[in-house]
Amino acid sequence: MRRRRTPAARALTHAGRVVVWLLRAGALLVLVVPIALVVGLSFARDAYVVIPPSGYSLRWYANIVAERDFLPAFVVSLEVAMIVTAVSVSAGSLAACGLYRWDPPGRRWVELALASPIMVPLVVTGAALLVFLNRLGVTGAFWNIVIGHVLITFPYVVRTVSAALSRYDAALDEAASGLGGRPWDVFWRITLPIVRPGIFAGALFAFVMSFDDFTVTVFLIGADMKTLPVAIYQYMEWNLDPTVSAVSAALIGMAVAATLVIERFVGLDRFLGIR
Amino acid sequence: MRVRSAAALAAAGEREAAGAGALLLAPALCLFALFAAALAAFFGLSFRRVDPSGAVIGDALTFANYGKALTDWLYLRTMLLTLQLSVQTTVAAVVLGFPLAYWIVRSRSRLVRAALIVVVAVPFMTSLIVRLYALTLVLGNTGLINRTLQAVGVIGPDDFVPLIRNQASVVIGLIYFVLPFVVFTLASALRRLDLTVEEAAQNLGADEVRTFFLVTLPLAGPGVIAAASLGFALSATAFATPLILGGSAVKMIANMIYDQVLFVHNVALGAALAVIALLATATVTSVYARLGAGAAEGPGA
Amino acid sequence: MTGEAPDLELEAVSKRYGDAWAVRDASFRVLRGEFVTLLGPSGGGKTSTLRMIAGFIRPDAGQIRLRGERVNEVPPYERDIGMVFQSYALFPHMTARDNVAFGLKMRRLDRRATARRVDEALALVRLEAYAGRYPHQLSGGQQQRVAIARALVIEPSLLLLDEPMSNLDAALRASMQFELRQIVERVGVTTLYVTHNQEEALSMSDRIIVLSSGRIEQIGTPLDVYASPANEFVAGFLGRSNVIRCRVLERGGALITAKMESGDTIAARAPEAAPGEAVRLLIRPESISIRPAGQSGENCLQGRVSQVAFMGAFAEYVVDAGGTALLVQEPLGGGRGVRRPGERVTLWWDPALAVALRGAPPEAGRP
Repeated sequence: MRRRRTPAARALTHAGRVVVWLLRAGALLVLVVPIALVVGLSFARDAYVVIPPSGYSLRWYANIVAERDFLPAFVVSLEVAMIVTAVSVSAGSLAACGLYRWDPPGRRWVELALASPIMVPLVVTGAALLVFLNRLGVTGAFWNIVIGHVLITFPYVVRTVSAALSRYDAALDEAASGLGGRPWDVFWRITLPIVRPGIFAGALFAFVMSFDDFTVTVFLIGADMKTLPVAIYQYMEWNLDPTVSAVSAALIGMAVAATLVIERFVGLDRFLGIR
Repeated sequence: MRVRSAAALAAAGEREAAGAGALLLAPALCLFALFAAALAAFFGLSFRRVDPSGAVIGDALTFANYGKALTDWLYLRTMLLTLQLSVQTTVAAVVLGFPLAYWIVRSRSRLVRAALIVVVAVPFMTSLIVRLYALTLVLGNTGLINRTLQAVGVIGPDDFVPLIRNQASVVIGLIYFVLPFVVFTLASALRRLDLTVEEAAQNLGADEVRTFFLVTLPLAGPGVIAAASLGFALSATAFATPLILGGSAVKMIANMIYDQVLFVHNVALGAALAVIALLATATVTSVYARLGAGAAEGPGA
Repeated sequence: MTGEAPDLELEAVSKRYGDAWAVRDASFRVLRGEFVTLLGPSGGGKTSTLRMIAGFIRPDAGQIRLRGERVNEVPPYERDIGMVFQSYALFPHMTARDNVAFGLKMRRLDRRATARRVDEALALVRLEAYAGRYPHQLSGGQQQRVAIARALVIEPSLLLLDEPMSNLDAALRASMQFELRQIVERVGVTTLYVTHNQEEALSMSDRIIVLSSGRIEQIGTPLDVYASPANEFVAGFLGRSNVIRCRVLERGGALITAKMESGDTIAARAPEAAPGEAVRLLIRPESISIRPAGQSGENCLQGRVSQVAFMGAFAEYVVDAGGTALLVQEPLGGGRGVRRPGERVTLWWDPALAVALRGAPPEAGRP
């Protein structure tokens, strides 16, 4: 009843299993170790990067405030991200709803257009915006950055809201209008609240993408105005103390919080398309 | 009260829906128009003539910038290097990412699956600068790897293995950057497969290794192609990673574009390089679309 | 034949998921050449049992033996078992021919022998003309045949089928049941068939194992299980039955006389019940005959028709009799029409067709 396999075949199976687990461990190490290291070193006492640290201290966190650049940069990043989120979420959600309700004849083209910023490399977007906006000369660095971030984030909002809408049961709309609801009422009172988690996920994603962005921003910054990632980069080039680790740990904390929030409210696997 | 025919009512309803739809789409389409205008203007510059200092002269159109970009060894070398590093990154990321993605999809424990997704998602949501800084801590001369090697005795207490500012560090950095995208794309594609066929293969006598190569991989093919083309597009146009991990020793095409536009002020050449980069990644992505349509797209480029 | 180890034997096999037992203490044997069905409701543990036999999951307790050899730790690809999955699990990227050839390829059979055996297997399921097609080009019934051919071509010691008919429409199901039984008999392979459909189980099996909530309720031939159910669950799962509570008055051989709550006395089969014991009588609707009202005699109950349902070839009535409502089935045709509500009747049944169950009634929550 048992099929005997040759020892060579058995060895191959065993080797295969070992390889798979090694690859998994490798991937996890790559993903976890750098971030864990940053967080760990942010509590180190030494004035330069020493592994392992000689002692622990919170002084680098305090130093963040002392350093001239970080706080203003943080404020700029925050302002930009909030404006960008508001604009992206509005334009993106409305667009997703428009696509859902209308089903226009050139639908594929409209979808393609709305998704196009994702398909263009960030470098190209940054460079193009720098040249274009400078030539227009209308807006300063701050608004240039806002525009840039809006352009690269709104397609994601369209996508997450569209995904939420695609799971929406159209029969609800029909039931509501059958009960006497006019299209605007149906949209505002029925469709929108149900799709809220998708909007929320898109908003969070837009906020994080804007806050985190480096590539597009670096093309558009001005002499006396920078975002937090840019400030970190500049500090990194000249300084070796763990203040950067502390700031980085703070941003990692933000990423963890965002991840957990999305998981709690929308479900990460659904958000990322895995379920 | 005027009675309208059913057809007229339906048509009116459709017009109203169309009107509402157009209104809802307007803001986003305006954004797209702005984006398209910026790109068009920028690409238009790639056809303009420039003087030696890089300033644009005259109104004539020319292919000279493309000629320079494609024949000058400086730029060619960069493009070839970019290609080489991207391919290495893509292969490594797919090989590393596949077992992890498979584990996520096949795991029966909700807790394990959630934990794995969080582990992959947190780097994804972390600012790129922070991730690159973290890598310098790992790869640096006094970083984690070197300190571990010293502690274990492989190298002396003052020696170090140069793991930064070279091609290896850039590839490692690109893998780190691209891995979450690859894992999510693969997981998304894998979850659409009915994996009972793997059990059928095992029942018929194929062990895990043979099942993988004969059944799982062929069926996951489109997903692998999707993940690979996404990984390639991301790594080929990467900017911050070669900047921070490669220094001046390793420049990729994105760095060249930046240099041309912001330092040399030769916008036309920068634009030409940008168009070339865009065409290259667009070709790869459309090859995928032809080969593997139906596989899921991951979030973003 | 005696002395030879059964092709399949489970001994006290259990499987749990967290706090819940999917399979609890299951023991049974399947002998060479038998066609045995695992029958039970969805979620009852049938599929878990099958997957443990196939090797995809490990039992938490007990032994699984194939031809006498313990196989608990043996991986699925080393067990000589052919399996037909519920979704057929055909390889979408291979033709029907390549699907069927797969198992032979794994056994390193040479090309000529493989081709011959594949052709034979496809002929067995009458799909020779479709050998070059891909699964998505085949209908559901054709896919099922490919799955059967694929499992049989490797000449396994044991054939497992996991609800293979559930994706077919009713007409196809009936013909496929017959055909599958023929194929299996022609090949002579020991078969374990899993289903929740009691008609399939009754018509196809040599023996039936009734499984519910992880426990084996009864093992027996179709006739045993239908006519002598071991408990109310089995009685209710295979066909329907009436349950009458009564107390044993006296025993006479294999029969007992019992008194219902209404005071009527009735007789049934209950070889072990003792006088004074409380028992539950099971009698199937088709075993009760309706006679004109007013007839007296042994095993007669007076009653009144309260509900009527016309079912085509027969009618079903709910008759209030003996203080309880009894479901009665009566064939129609031959001049007999449907009775009317309110009609007074006498109910009678042959005591040998009623079974008395002893012991406590099933706990709430169990079917």
